[in-house]
Order: sequence, then C-alpha cells, then structure tokens
Amino acid sequence: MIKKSLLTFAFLFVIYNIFLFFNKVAWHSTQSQFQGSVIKSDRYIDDPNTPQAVVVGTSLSSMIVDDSIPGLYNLSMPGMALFDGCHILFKRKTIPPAVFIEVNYFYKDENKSFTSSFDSKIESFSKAHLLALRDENQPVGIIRHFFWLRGHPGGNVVHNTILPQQVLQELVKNHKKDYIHPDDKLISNGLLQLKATVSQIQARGSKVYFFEMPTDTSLEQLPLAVKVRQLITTTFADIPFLPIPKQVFSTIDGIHLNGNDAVEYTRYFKSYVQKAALN
Amino acid sequence: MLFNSSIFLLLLVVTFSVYYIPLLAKYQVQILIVSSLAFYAYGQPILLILLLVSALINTLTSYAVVNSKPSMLKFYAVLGVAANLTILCFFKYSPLFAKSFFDTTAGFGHFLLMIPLPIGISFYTFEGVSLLIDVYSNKHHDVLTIDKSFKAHVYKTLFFISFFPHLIAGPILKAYEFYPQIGNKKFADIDWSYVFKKLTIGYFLKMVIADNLANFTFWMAYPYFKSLSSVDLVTMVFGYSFQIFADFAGYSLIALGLAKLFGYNLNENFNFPYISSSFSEFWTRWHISLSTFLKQYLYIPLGGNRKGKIRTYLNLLVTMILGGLWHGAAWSYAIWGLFHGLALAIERFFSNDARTAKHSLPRRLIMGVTVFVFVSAAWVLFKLPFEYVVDYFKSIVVNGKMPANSNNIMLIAIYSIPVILYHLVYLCRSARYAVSFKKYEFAGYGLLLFLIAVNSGPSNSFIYFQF
Repeated sequence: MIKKSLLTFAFLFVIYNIFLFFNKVAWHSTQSQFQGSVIKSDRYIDDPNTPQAVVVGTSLSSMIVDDSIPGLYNLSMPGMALFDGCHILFKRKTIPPAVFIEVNYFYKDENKSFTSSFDSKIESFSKAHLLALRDENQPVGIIRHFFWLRGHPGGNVVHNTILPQQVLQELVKNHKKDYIHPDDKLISNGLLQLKATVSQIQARGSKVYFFEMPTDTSLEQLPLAVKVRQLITTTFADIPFLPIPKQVFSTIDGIHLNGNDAVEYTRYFKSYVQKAALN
Repeated sequence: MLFNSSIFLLLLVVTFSVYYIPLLAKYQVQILIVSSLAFYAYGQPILLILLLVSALINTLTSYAVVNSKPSMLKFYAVLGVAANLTILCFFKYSPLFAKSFFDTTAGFGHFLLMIPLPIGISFYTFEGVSLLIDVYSNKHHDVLTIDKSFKAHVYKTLFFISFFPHLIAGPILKAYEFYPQIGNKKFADIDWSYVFKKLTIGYFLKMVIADNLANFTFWMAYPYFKSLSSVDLVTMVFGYSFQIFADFAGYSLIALGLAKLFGYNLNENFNFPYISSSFSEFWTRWHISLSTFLKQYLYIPLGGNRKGKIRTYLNLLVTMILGGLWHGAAWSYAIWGLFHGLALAIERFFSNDARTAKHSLPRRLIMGVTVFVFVSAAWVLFKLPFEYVVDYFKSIVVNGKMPANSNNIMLIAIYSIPVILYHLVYLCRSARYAVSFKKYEFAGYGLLLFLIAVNSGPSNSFIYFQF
C-alpha cells in the first residue's frame, strides 16, 4: 500500500510539473493575502529582468497599481512592513536603480516568519527548479484562476467595500488613539533600522525616494503623522520626499484608500516616478 | 518546534536512527528523553526547567505514595496534585487574575501579567495529576506498577511526561495506559502502514486544510469583521470550525503516527466529531483524552449523576466551565465551557437517554446539523476576545446588505470539503461500495501526499499550542 501510494504521488507530481512547464502562465492564482505576498516576492526574485524602480512599504502603498506605471514593481505587501519588502529586494543580485519607500509606518517590524522562508537555500532551489512547488502554481489557485478570474485579471486585488458610516467612524476613532499617542521608543528604533536599510540600498548603487500615502484627512495632522514626516525630512534631508497631495481621498477603513482613489493616487505617484527617472 | 518544520524532521531522523541501533537498545527510553527535552527546549529553553521541576515533583510524590506508610499515602497524593495545580494556576492564570483584579500598568499586577506561559503546561500538568491519582487510587494496580528502583522510576516518569509526540498538545496520556508500554522496542515491530496513514492524513489536515483556512478566517479578527458581509461572517464561523478540527485532529494524528514509530500506542483523540447528533456524543468524539480525563478525574469524583438531577446538572456545569478554563486564561473560555455545560444539562433534562442511535435518520440528521451549528458558533469564543464576540454576532445581523466576498466564500468551501468528505467516508465505511473502494485507497493517499507537496498553506503553529 505504501509503495503504491508513493508511486501515485510521484506520478501526479511529475504530470503536474509537465503541465506547468507547458503552461507558463502568470496565473491569477492568489488565494489569500499572505500567499499573495509570497507570490509577489517569488516573481520579483525570479524575474530575469530587473525592474527600473520598486516600491516598498505596507498595505497602504500596496494599493498603488503598478501595472499602470511602466518599469515599476510594487513590493509593498499587505500585513508586511517596508523591511519585509527590502529583505526581498536584496535577494536579487542587482537591485532596481530607484527604490521608493513608503514612510507612514516605517517603524513597523519585519515579519521574520515571512522573510525567513526566502532565506532557506533548499527551499529557494527547489522552488526555482520545480514549478509545482511555487505558491503561484497551487492547484486550488489555478482552479480558481479558471473558474472565477478568467477575464477579470486583478479582480481580487482592489477592495471596494463601502462601510456603514458608523463602522467607518469607529475604525477611524481606533486609529486616532494610536495617532494621538505615538510610541516614541518604537519610532526611534525603527528610525535606526531605516537608516541602516537606506545605507544598504545606497551602497548597492540605487537611489532612494520617500513618499507618504494619504489616509483619512482627520489623521493626517495628528502627532504620529506629523512626527513621522518631521523625522524623515530632517534625518534624511538629502533624500527626496513626496508629500501627500492636497486633495481629499476617501478610504475603506480610515487608512487604506478605496479602489477608485487608489487609482487616482497612482496617477499622482506616477508623475513622481517619471520625474525621478529623468533625474 | 513544529511537527512540519525542517528542524523537527532532522531531530526525528537522528532520534529514529539512534533509537533502533541494537547496541543502544537498553538506552531507548533515555534516547527519547534527550530528544524530547531538545524538542521542548528549542522554543523556550528557560522553561525546560519548569518541565523538569514538574516531572521531579510527580516522580517524588508518586514514589512516596507507593513506598510510604499507609497513613501518609493521602498526604503525598494531595501534596503532588496541589503542587501540580499550583504551578498550572501560577503560570497560566496569573495574567487573567491580574487583568481582573489589579492595575496591570505597574506593580504586582504588571508582574503577574508578564509571567510567560510555558508551552504545553496544561497537558503535562494533567498527565502528572493522572499519574498521582492512578497510583493513589490503585484502581489499575494490575497494569500500573511503580518501580522499586527510584532511578528507573525517574526515567519512566520523565519519559511519560516529556515524550515529544504528545508533549505540547496531547493527547493527554493516562499513566495506567502508558506505563505498561514502556520497554524495549524492535524495528521489526513497527506497523508501517499505521504510521504512514496517520502521518499522511495528519499532515494533510494540518498543512493543506488548517493552514489554508487560517488565511481566510484571519478576517474574523477585530476590526476586520466589521467590514464584512453577513454571508462572509457566517461562512467564516463554519470555516473556523473546520479549521480548528483539521488543526487539532491533524496534530493528534501526527502524534499517534510518531509515537507508533517508536513503538508506543497513543489513544485516538478524535473520532469524527462533526457527525455527532447530540452534545454528549460530541464530547465522546472531540478531544477524547481531555473529555475522558475530566470525566474520570473531575465529574465522577464530584458525584457524576449519582446524586440526583440538580446535582448532576451542577456537576456538568462545573466540569465544563473548568474544562473551558483549562484551554486558556480568559473569561471567554469559561463562557465557552458554560455554553457546553448548559447544552449538556439541557439535553439531559429533555432526554435522560442520550443514546441517539435509535432515533430516525431524519431526526438524527436535524440534530446533527443543530449540534454542528451550535458547536461552530461557540468556537467564535476561541477565536475572539469576549468583548468582540457579541459584536461579531451583531455584525452578522447588521451587515446583511453589504456585498459578499465570493472569493473568500468559495475558497473556504473548497478547503472545507475534504473535512466533510473525511467524515462522510467514515459514515459510509461499511457500505458495500466502500468496501470495494478500499483496494484503491492507495490512490487517495497518493493524492493527499501530492496536495501536501504542492498545496500547503503558510506554516502556522498549532492552535492548541497556546493551551
């Protein structure tokens, strides 16, 4: 029984690898947020071409629609920090000439359980050589691709839920608590880490740009946002900083832009990227 | 150390290779002790001391119970049980005590809040209690004998407490079931088919089902649930119900397979609980090692059903509330226990005959669905702090008009189907077509292995580790 089971497994595994080899498709197979981050990272690491620019940050900047900005790869991931994006960034031999860093929550810690999986040489090697082991090729994801996403690429990415006003206000109120009382120790530790990361990027010959993502307007002038802005502009005086645009954006939950406004912000961000490319 | 981590795989291979070397045969217990201590120390090395202290207390008191004057037996047994429970209360319930009665921002309250929770403490403490009660009651004297040699007793007790397959999340061993098994094991006696089946199903349930479902039930947390539709919220309740089953039953099956690899039989901890058509049946199928422990060592000593109806209901409530609190230091666990206690008491009130086999199939089906829905709803108390549980159910009522996220709903359904099939296969096991399919079961196991390799979710720790 055991031998037959192992043979069945081997047969299925080989057949599936052959199927994937002859169907090299960028599947819309993301099932969950975490897996989406793994897929995004795998694709960045294994792309034969280095992008011209890359964005790192949190879920806030993951809303930037990179498809509409040629040469840009968005390595900001929901639930992750800019340091997670940078960890992945350094996995390539050459890194993009321009690195755009979102600063809103720059002090957020790296998610080691996520990044450590990219440090395992055995895992990286097997993922690179056996297509079936890559997250983007999971059978359930591919089934999902065929059944639900055909003709709607990226349909799962933008979250457009409009919350009842009362719920939105409650969420904004929660955010305000953090924005009114910033954690100074956390921020100063994060700043040290950011300095080290920026030096590392610059040492590899890339240019760093900072930007701030818009949030609910009632948060933007609270102590946390003001402090972050001030620290970044004074500590990194020689690094360009893109402030938030003057227009009012609407959010899903107080901090994440809704779908249409994310597209609107992408336009604004695109001009910044293009200016940076000219410099 | 996770059962699905590469470091565990390395430890397992090394231990297994050394364990069956003929020259080292007489050190088999010691080899497993060393390996188990390394397994435990990997996560929290400092808390290894506590595990050793716990084992030492149980060794000394159980030895004293057997070897002291008859007048002192009870004293040593009570001393040992009290020491076990004191350690458990101090490490597990101090934060709850602090949050309920003290200012936790500073002083004594803050000190209590900061006490670390040693992984697996609830499991190994109960095993120690089982040893002391079994030795003192002498009910199992035909199978449970304590060695005259103190050294041999030290090894056996340390092994009983620390044996790595069950150390962190059970099944909770009873001394009278495990001690008689301790002895020399031979490679030729390994039941490879049993090991293969348990490990394959266990890893499949954990890595493919539970770890993937965790990605979708993640959104049950505050404040995310506020922004989801009623359909999403209800689907996630059932998704979490399947996830917690796959996670814990998966862990238990892996534990059974691993123990068997070293020649030890652990009792089944799950027996297809979601086919239960009554709450009392559910508790004979879910976390069996805990429910039998609570029954033998708490419910029956409290009087069980021997002291009248009112006392029986009260005993059920007390047992289940304490059983709830065993899971964690939060009032939500006590309320979860109260919920199950009430359900058992009400069920008993309406029908003293809990056996449902003689009910008609449609009635059993309706009762089964009812039990499943209530059990699943109660798991929300495991997932969320109590202050958000009410809000969660309120959101189910209020968010009816929001658009549902079909992506999440479909994926939860896809990953839940194997759990449903798992239960259905069990239900249909004696049907004629099922018997003829048995010869093709290798194909099923091959498919499970394939899915483990290519469709596992992100590695998460086991839900029951926190208990």
